[in-house]
Amino acid sequence: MSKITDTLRQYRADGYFAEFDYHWTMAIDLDQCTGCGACVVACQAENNLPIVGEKRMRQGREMKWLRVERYWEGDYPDARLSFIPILCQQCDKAPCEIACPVFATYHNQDGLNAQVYNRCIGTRTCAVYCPYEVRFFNWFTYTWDEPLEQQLNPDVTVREKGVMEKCTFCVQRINRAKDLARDEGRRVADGEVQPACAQSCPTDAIVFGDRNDTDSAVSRKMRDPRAYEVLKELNTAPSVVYLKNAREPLHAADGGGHHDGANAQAAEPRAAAAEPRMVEAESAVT
Amino acid sequence: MVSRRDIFKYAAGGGVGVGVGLLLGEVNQRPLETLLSTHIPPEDFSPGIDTWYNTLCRMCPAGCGISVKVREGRAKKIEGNASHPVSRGGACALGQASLNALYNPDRLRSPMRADGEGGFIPASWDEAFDELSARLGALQAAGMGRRVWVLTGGALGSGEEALSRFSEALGANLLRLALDTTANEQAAAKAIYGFEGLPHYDIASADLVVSFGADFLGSWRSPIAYAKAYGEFRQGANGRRGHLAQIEPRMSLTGANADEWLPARPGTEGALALALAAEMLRRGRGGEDVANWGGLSGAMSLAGAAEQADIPLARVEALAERLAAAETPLVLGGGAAGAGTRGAAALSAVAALNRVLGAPGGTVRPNLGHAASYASVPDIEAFASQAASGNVSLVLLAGVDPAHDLPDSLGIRRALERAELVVSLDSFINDSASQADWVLATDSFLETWGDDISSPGAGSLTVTLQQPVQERLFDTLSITDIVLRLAARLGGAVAQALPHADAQAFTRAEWARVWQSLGLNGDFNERFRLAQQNGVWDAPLAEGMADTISPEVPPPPAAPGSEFAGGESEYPFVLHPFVTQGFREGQGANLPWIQELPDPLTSVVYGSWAEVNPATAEQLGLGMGDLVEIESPAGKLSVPVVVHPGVRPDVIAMPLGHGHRGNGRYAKGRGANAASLLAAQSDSATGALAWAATRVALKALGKRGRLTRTGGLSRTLGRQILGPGGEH
Amino acid sequence: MPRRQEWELTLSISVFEAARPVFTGLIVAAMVVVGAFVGHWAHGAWLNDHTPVQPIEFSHEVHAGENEIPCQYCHAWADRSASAGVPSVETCVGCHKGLAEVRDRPEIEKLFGYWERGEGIPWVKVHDTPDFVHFRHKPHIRAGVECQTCHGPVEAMARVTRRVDINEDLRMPWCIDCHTEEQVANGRDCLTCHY
Repeated sequence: MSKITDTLRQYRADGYFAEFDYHWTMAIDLDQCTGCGACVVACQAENNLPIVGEKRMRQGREMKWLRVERYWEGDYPDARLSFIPILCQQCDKAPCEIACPVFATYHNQDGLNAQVYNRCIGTRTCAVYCPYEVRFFNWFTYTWDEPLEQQLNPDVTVREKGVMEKCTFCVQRINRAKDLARDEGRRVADGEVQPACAQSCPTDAIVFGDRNDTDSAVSRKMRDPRAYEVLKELNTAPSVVYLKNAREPLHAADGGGHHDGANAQAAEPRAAAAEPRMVEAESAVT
Repeated sequence: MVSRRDIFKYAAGGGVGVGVGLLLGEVNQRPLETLLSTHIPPEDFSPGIDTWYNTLCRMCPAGCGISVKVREGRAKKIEGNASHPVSRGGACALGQASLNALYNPDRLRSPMRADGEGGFIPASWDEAFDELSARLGALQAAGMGRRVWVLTGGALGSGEEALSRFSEALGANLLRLALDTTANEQAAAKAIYGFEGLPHYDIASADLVVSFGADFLGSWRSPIAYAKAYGEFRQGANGRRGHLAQIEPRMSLTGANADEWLPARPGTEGALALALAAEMLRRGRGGEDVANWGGLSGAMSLAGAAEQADIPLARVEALAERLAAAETPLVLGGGAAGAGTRGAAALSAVAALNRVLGAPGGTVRPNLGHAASYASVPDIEAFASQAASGNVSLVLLAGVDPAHDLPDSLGIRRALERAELVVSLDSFINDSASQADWVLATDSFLETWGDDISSPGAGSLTVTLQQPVQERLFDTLSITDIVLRLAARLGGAVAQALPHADAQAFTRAEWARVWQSLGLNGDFNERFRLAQQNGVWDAPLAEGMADTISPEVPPPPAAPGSEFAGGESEYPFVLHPFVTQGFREGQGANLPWIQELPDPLTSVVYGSWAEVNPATAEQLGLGMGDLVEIESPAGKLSVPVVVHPGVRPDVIAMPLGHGHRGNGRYAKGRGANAASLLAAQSDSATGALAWAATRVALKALGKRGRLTRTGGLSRTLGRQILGPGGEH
Repeated sequence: MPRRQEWELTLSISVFEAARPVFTGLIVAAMVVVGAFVGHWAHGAWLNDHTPVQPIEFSHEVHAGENEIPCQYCHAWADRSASAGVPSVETCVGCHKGLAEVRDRPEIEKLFGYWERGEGIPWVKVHDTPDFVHFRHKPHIRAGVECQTCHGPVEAMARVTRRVDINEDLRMPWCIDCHTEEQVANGRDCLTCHY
């Protein structure tokens, strides 16, 4: 056990992953993200995510490795909506990794937070520990109505009942790119690997690459002053970096708030009260 | 102590155990699998390796180039074609989900004929062609081709060319149908820019975009091309961040991303645009080309327009300030703003504002003079009245579902009931096909040949080639194949007009014809082969071929407010139907990935809803998910409400594309069809359907509706999820 | 106190005698269970069908052994794909068209039967990994691993069999041992094979 805890302690030290070949990182520019959902469908297509059906959706059994969260701000007519795509943050100091009793989730040498389906015994502890709510448990063995199963991606395992799953940063694509690079005896070039979400993004809001390469597009994005990490205070050291939306604050916009001005703070409880009977189906609670 | 007899017993037990173990081993064996073996491998066949084919997405008329990943002969994933000038590697949710249509469990696997009891039974192609050619032949011989009506959509490819040649040779009527057409925008471009077709808008180089109702990030025209441009507009290489103002009564996806959202009263957008144009002229922004407009003295004052639009004057003045100061401004108009009874005038006012700002030639450029000419409301009504008087013998529905997508008030469903024979060419028993006598099962667009003129192209002709990425899954044919085979059977003028063997031959012949007509030289075969490789043919146009902007045009007409069906006292709310990227007018409803994709603004899945302002909801005692009855002069339906602040208090917004009567397990019976509420209103200038000009009344039904939403809280509650220092 | 001991002894014997059928039953049951494990193991070791009957009695011994056709002549994708692939009927017929001397043998007749009917041959998989393992041929060929290392001496097999003595029934420790011994880069990372 001590060897395991030593390993855990080791990679919680700052800079540990800089020693490795690749440190896959994603940057999402919220100023470019339009919330259209193309990435969500791309992920579903690439990673064999099940079609869970309306009944399961109502029960909060959504299985979307990537979701677009949306947040309202202000009140009519000075209302504003913001989008943020949330996926597994591939934390370097991942709370889920400490939780798993069988080490079915661990950190690999590329900075990826791995989930090993055949090792997982389904305790669901990791999902409880995850502050981003991006782990999904297979309560059922989902099936595809014939012939929809012919679409399934042969490069990705179809998960069955009793297994936890989550975003892999499209590791099958990473493996393929590394394989091609190996053929030519070189490193994976910047931009050579594109997870399905980044590839499909119609506004190029998602950038993916190796953080250890300081010239990579993602490293440049990380140096942007707008860059931040979601729930940074939890010290999880995520590998997903967000770039803050560059819109002017809502009430600094020209014309100002032309209604009674007491909006921002007062609006919060009122808006919450507007949806009192809303089913609080936290999508990721498994 | 242990007797011999016991020893025997133990041994027997062991023996039985071994036997059981052997049996279990036999039962537990890994099932034998067979390897993938081919007879003659298709070209490019390589097990375990992805093969990518470039082709065309046909889920909407934008004409994006896509790349399809194929493994072991099956399409697995759709991505944008990176070398395509429209999609540039991007793909929207609907395009990617079109795989669900290809592999849909409810897709038709052979031609179907009605059994007379509301059901359908499989039939053979020979039976279908025998009956259809006999009927058509008889009509043709009797000189009654006019009694045949061909109903199709608004794409521009050679498949549509085949259809129109077919109906021309037959003497039949052809109607191009869509709820949201480009007719008003074409009329405005003609009037104000002086060219035919649709303009190309250069969002990427604009520093200010003011959009009157055009949801260009969601569903308007070419969302992927515009989204790519928007990405550059926001965080482009030029280091400048553009400002986006969205003027619309209900916040669209574009409105949600805008820097400012101005909820104008429906139908007043034109007057506001014209007032802004007059203001710009007053501030001296207009050039020589608008000198003859007399300063647009007929326009309203800014204050008047602001009051009419119910937007604070300060905000309109601030917008005017921004417009006057902008270097490369761009004004867009579309969606509901161009779909009132004065839609064409409103869009002309928007174009006039562009013209005053000097956008034409810069951020607004002429496109190739090629845009679909859609059927107007009088055209559709003519069809309905012909059918009512028993003069319609045969209706050919070529890939359209007007019984769902268009308002009932236009009478299409009744017309289909009255027609003698209705033949639907579709992959599903959709709402219209369920009224048909024959449903001829069509290919997915991933299984056949064709092309489309992609919009928006600027200064060049962008034709995207559609080619099969895999063999047909079922016993199906493409619409073009069906038309060509019918033509061959009919003989005579029809066969002469369409002598080609199949869709592949026809597409190739069409390309050769266009190649010649453009006077291009070089090896056509080589060019076609390249197009098969790249998926696109982006031909620069010779000098003088592209349309140009007229140096001088007459001033725009006044832009009076839209007129609404239904009295204000009886129907206190304006219905704002909107098109979403996933569902469009109904095309996405049978795709499970689209049904499960949460709506970006409301995160609703599996079903439709009506959006209500919190103040209105409070007044009517409505909460999230409560069922309401919405009644218009044309119809009524019930639907759950979503309460959110992105909609005006005097407006009820509803997504289009839901509420199918058929169309397979994922679409059938989900949500309510907003189009069924629309009155048969039309634009006073173009006759285009005014789909945003109906008033409704709202009645709480006192019970919960079936509203499924995903996600958690709709406010950040100070968690700084959207970045440090609060929300933006 | 001997009497009492005797009494105790008598009692214990009588209890044992009374319980005798139960004990025998239990031991028999235990023997059945042990036997079942032995039987199951024996089935896996000796009786498991590692040598499935193929639709055509194709002999690797003749093709790869006597005629020395290289493996990748037919399994052409092994060096560039995850799967090695089986040859198309066209490939088989391509050679056999010119081999008139064996044309009338019954197994060759079967081959031409598939060819004329336009069908693929449903070859049965001999070596298989579970669906959560993404074994890829390409990196192994690149690293110079001989086909025989995993597949055994196929060139000496009339009908291909999975040699458990060579590959431990394709179980994971066997993979890991080799990856460790050969110091494969990231060879012990789960994500190398499981994703």
